Amino acid sequence: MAKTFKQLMDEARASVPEWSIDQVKSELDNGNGRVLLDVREKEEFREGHLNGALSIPRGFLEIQVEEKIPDKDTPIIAYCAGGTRSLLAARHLGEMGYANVISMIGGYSAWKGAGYPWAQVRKFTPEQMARYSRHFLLSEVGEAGQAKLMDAKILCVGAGGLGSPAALYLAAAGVGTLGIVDDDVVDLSNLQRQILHTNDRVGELKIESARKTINALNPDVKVVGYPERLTSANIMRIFADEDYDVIVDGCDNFPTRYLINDACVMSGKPNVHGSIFQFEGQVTVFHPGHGPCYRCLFPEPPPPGAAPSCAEAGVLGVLPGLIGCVQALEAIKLILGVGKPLVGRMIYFDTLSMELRSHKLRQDRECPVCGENPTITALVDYEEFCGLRQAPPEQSRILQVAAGR
Amino acid sequence: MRVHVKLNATLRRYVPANADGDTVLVDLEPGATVDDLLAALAIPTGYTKMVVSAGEHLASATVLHEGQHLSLFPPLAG
Repeated sequence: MAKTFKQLMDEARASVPEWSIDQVKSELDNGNGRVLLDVREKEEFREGHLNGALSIPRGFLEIQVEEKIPDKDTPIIAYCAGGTRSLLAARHLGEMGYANVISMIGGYSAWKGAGYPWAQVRKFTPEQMARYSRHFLLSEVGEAGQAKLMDAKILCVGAGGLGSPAALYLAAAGVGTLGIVDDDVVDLSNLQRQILHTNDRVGELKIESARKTINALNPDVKVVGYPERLTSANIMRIFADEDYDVIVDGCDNFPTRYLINDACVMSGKPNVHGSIFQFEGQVTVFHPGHGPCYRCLFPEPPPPGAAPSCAEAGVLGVLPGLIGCVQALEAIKLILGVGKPLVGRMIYFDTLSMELRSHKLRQDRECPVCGENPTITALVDYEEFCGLRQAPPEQSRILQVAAGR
Repeated sequence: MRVHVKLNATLRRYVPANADGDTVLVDLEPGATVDDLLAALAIPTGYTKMVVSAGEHLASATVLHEGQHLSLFPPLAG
């Protein structure tokens, strides 16, 4: 027999517990883990919602809920604008086997009216809604994740083979601020792999060429160029310039690798490391406080001349494309806080045999930079450290006392 | 005892001409460690490298065993 709206509501009330906003508030304040499920329309959610709420509009509830909340014993607090839609939604969830669903009386209106904390996701322009639509479909990104990407500041060291694909994909993903450090100009020999640059820009500063390519792809990205060689004297200024969240190391030499490592450990910034040789490449994330640093793996640089660079030994152009893309992906994971970052692990690509190996990395408790009793607590002269220059007599190796660790 | 050591990237130049591919067979005394292995290889001292076996990065004092497969990874500049 057909049921009236009132009958449906009465039936729902008989099977679904309802909590007041005060009960919900005290439950959340007590730190009891419950999924807050917002069943309003996306537009309503965007205007404001409870902190940390999961948005599944009621029209998509049955379709999406099992994917987003797989465990049917999960305690759930459902809410809508006033408490009606969430009550009906909670009843449907009960029919689907969700055993711990509560509906919040008065909904978001009562919650906000009581002055309880709420959050608002960034409002996107129609162009951004279209541009990032594929990200919005991913529950791991969504609108909140896209907002994080748009607020993120990532520094790419080098606009070369690794930095090109890394910067391009970071820009495409909508990373708000991209710093690029490179003092070089575009050379014809770069174009076999450095896809940020073009034939008509040979002789142009790489950071200017990079800016043009990046802003042609995504005009929303703020590109901050540093046309200088990274040194002990400027690295902390550059790191602090935009207070970068993540450093992407795409450089081409050992002194800069050690410099970036030490500066990242001293400033606590995660360092997405990619390095290549001919047909092989390795990627890892050095996250201070969470895993080993570069010096834990390689305490000393190889003797000068023992480990040739790409300029000396050659490199297949596609290889840095592969490695730089993995670096971009890891940087994005760090910003979003999703998945399992490559911290304490390294992946090693051998593209000739097309073998991909992954191994765990060991943190060295004796590490001179990140160990228990560090002996290197300020940046040094890295050219000298790598044996590329003799120490000038009577001059301190310590160039700059780094900011607090 | 004998271990199998794969040399990667810039270390491959130290593979002897008569080796099978990029893997070197190294004879060591029983109880030899990672450090002993590195000393036995014809690679310049001071050339730091990561020694990995079965997906684990080994400490320099780790004792090796007969027939173990190891892989050496150098730092890469580029």
